[in-house]
This record gives sequence, structure tokens and C-alpha cells, in this order.
Amino acid sequence: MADQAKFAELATPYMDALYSAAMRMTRNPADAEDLVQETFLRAYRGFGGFQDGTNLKAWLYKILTNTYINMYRAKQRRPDEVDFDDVEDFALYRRLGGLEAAQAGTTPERLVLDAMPDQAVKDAIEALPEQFRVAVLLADVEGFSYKEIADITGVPIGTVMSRLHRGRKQLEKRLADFAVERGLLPSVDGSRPTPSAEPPAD
Amino acid sequence: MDCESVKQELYVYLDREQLTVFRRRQITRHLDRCRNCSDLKEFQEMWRTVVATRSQDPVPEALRRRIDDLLTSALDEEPGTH
Repeated sequence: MADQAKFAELATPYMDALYSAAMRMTRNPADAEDLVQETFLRAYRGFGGFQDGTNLKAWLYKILTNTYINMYRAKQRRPDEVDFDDVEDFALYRRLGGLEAAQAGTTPERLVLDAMPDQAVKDAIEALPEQFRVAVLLADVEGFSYKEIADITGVPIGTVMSRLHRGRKQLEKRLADFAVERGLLPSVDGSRPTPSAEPPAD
Repeated sequence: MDCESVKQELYVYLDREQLTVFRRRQITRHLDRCRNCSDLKEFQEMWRTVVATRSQDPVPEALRRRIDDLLTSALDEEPGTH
């Protein structure tokens, strides 16, 4: 059994990451603060049942995710949370196709990504429908495996994979649209040759 | 192995999940030969770094203090823990 006196020492290092995830989930600082505080309290109370040697980070994220779903989900659905199902694959990458490198020693990809402000990335994640948003956060920001995400969110691995696939596609599309709005990319499709347009290589 | 299959399985390949050793090797071999697919793969790797590193928010100091205080007082209330 885990010792509650050790809880603060073990759990506190995850506070920054949990807060960032809470910001993307709730989409405002006041709710994110409440969510992280509630997560630490629940984790502290439940820490006696936590098995030493199992994954503390995954356990904390499970509490965070469940608390978010129970406390905030209903009131936080946004009208712009639409799930466009037929988003193209790799939207940003495709758009980059027509660009020439503006300076030596770099690539158009690097230039556009470097010019992408943090807030644009955050906004794009926050605009994803909830289930995709949580999957993308857990996989691409926190680095959890499919199995861990399945356990944290309580769905089968196949569902995790499909949410991730669609979430990532939509995220890339939103950032591509943002880049066009900001003039980082031309508004016409760069007509980059997509892999599917090529004949098989072997 | 064709480009379309690589594109379909690229996320899973980059996640280092689910694929058999054989399948993974087939994709790696295709990527070594196909410029279009390897460009796409490199972009996806760069893109993931952007998503992971540009979506961080520091914990507000007031929240950190509040949680420290809560945990300290919770511990004080429990008999026999110190």
C-alpha cells in the first residue's frame, strides 16, 4: 500500500503537465485550476489504494479525465465543436507543397511551423470535439500508449486509435486553415504530390 | 507495399504500436526508397514536436500554494501518518 505522506513528493512533479491538460480540457483558467485542485484532492484520498510500482502518471490522468467528464463536460460543450468527418489527411503538409524555401538552410515546412504561435496550437486543440481532444492530448502531448489511453478513458484500443486518427487529421486541418488566414500559406492548395498519387514503389 | 498503405498506417507506425515486426520492416523499407513518403513522415515527426511543445501552460503560483496547503493540512488531520 502506498504511503499517503509520500503523495505530495511523488505527485507534485506532474502538476504542470496536469494543469496544461486541464487548460485544454476546460478551456479556461478558472475551471482548469478547480479541476487540478480537485484531482489532487481525489488522488490524495485514493492514494492508499494506489499500487506501488504501477504507473502513477497514468493513474493521475485517469482521475483528471474522470473528474473533468463528471464535473465539466455537460456545461462546456461548445457550438463550434463540430466533427467534420470527411477532413482530408495531412492537410497542413499538403498545403505546404507549393512553397519555395525563402532562405537557405531551412525548409518551407520548418519556416511555417516555426511561425506557428503557441496560442494557435492551443486554440486548435481546444476546438476539437471532446473525445478526440482528450485522445490527442493523452497521446501527442503526454506520450501515453494506446493501452494506457484505453485504460484512462475506459474505451477499447480500437476506439482510441480511431479517435486519435480523426483528432489528428482535424487538428492538422485547423492549423492549415489558421496558416492560410494568417498569410503563412497561400490560399490555393499547394498541390503537393500526395503519396497516394504515386505508383507503388515496390 | 504501396504509398497508400504507408499513408494509412503512418500514425500507427510513428506511434510504435500495433504493427507486426514484419509490417514495420516493410514500411521502413518503403520509406527508405520513396521520397514522397519519407518527406511526409519527416513532416509528421516535426509536427508532433510542435503540438507537444507549444501547448504548455505553467501552473499559477497561487494554485501551487493552495494545493501544497491542502495536502499539508490533510496530512496533519490524519492520525499516525507522521
